[in-house]
Amino acid sequence: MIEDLKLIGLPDDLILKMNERLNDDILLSLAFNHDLVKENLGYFKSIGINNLDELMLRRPDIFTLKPNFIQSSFKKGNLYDEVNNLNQDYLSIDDILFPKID
Amino acid sequence: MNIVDKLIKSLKVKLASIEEFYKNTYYKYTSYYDTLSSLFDINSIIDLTSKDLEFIKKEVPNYDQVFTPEEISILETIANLSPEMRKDKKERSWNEKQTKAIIGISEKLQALIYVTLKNDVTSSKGDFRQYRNLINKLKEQGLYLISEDDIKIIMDIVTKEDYSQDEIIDVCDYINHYNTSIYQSYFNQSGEDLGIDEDKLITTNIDQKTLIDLFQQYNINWHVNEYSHSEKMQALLDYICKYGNLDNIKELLEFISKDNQLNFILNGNNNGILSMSQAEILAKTFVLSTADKIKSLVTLCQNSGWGNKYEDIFKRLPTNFFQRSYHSSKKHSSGKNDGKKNQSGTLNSMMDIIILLKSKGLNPKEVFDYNATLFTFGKKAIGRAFNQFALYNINLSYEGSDHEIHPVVGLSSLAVANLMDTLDVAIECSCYDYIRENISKLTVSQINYYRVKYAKKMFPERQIFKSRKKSSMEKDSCLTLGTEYQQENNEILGSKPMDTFSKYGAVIPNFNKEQIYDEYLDLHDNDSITEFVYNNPIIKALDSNYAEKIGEETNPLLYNFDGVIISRLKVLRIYESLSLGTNLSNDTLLYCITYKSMLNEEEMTKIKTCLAKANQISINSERNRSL
Repeated sequence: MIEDLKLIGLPDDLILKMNERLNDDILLSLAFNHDLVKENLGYFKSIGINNLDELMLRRPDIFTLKPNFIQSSFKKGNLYDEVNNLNQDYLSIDDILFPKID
Repeated sequence: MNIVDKLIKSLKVKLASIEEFYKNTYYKYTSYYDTLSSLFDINSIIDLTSKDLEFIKKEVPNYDQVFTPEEISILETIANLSPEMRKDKKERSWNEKQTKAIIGISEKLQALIYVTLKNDVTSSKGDFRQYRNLINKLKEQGLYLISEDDIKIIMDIVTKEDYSQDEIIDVCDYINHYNTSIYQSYFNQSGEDLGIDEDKLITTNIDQKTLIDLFQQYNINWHVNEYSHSEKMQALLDYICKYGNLDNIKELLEFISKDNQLNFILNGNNNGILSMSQAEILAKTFVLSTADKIKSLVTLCQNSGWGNKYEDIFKRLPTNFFQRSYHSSKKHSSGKNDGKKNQSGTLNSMMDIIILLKSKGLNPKEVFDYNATLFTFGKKAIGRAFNQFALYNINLSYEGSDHEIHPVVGLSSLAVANLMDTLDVAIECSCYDYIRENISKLTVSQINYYRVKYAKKMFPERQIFKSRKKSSMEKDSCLTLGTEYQQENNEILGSKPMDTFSKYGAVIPNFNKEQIYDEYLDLHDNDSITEFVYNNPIIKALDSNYAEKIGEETNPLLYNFDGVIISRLKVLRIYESLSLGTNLSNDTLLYCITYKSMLNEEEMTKIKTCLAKANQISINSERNRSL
């Protein structure tokens, strides 16, 4: 499992923290979906999200969502505000990915 | 008769006699004494009535000799005052001689009526609550250990009553098993289903070559020397060969390969080479799962919102292919990762949680899309969290609510530790509505709600909460709660709770039994409130005098002690938990009221004054009841 987690390209200290804080079911899910996780991680970085460690530790399953879904969700709003909010409070990912259905 | 039934029967007989004694004697005397003792201070002795005096004369043997002539004179004079004279006399103060006599009366009564009686009761009769709790423990086989005190009671009964030597041994055996099972379940995630015991798997020793050939038929390449992590692949192969059943593996391969939403798990690269995590998942599936079990989950998902698109639940959470397992011989893992168990497997918990969510009117697919992690927690933990939210009047299904966010967002809070403690603090710091609208904020353990209480006091004119949807340009205008990312205003409001406590001038009260209380709360869920607490005279007095009113209705969440807001449910649920293990006193109640609260000297005094008033009210009502 750890071999595949390393394929994501995360720093060692983050992998260590993930090992401590996340349960084995989630770790195995991230490891198995390492390609997907890597792609989503790349997208988050490219738009300027800088608290990815916290997002990974608190909402790991976000990274196994389909990249299309994530990218189109971000495009629906004002990207500048979304990234700014997310960098202050990782929970605002909820507003972006799962907005209230009116 | 079963030995436990016999024991319960003996305990019930004993309990009945104690309760009878309490009802007829103890309550009557102690409540009467409490009333009398409150009269015996300089300011309130004027309320002593002739009825009180009659009671004293009747109950104190050798009344004439016990009290001095000065004391008798004071007692008789006051008892015979007319209401008008009483009113008039209230203004007058007592001289030194009279004061001494009043103190003398109080001390003597205390010695004669109360202390003797109380010692008599507790030493010979025991505390009926302890018997009642013990009977409940034996009946319900719950999570509470049979304590040292319980064992003393049981041993007292079995040695004094009609129990044979064999029966006594049976009782000891029973206690031993009872406590051991609680101990085990406590360390096994509070009684969660652990899954399959790997130490009890039957050794099958499948031939390795046969297995590798079988895999090859399904384009799975398990030739270990073709892998860069060959040792790991060999270990997994050994594991399958040792415990796998060839027929079962064939059936699994056949079923999975033919289902185009599941067969991704068998597909390696062009050469059939698997990823390491894929090999790990397959090994566990072959040993711990069956085609029927996977079919059951598929069927359940098809009927629970996924329809024929169930691939995601296996792709995003591939541990859904197999059931959780554990090693009974190794209670704790090797010590690495701070005791974290090396466990995976969600087939069962996935099914349990889908059923649970449906029963709560939620759409499991929607929840899974939003928060797959939730399905890796046990059903018991999730179910308990639902109940805790319901207790605090927070509806997670969001029906008919005006929340700003998607219905399932709050669900990530189901896995939060100390959920209720956080809610209590939020309530006391005016953040309850904020929480209701931003339930997922509960998952952020670093939020310091005390800052809001402090900010409201220091800067009443400023806006406290930032709207989630406001753009970043607007945020500077308010004092936000502050997560780890919102560190502004730390200088003013304090960063950590202790900083805010110190800025607020909070006092930390001391309690004699604080350590015992703390330890007791640590061991329990503290999330139930029974009739015992609701019907407790002092709680009734608090409810009728200090529960916050919304119009005519009582607000179940708040006590308002002369302007000091305290979470009512906190008081009730902690009082309930402590009632199971300690003797309740005013000290206990004050501990419950002030638990995790940020209170300054003035607020503490207000609470104590209100508590004293409530105490007096409850004593009076008990007195009226017993007379």
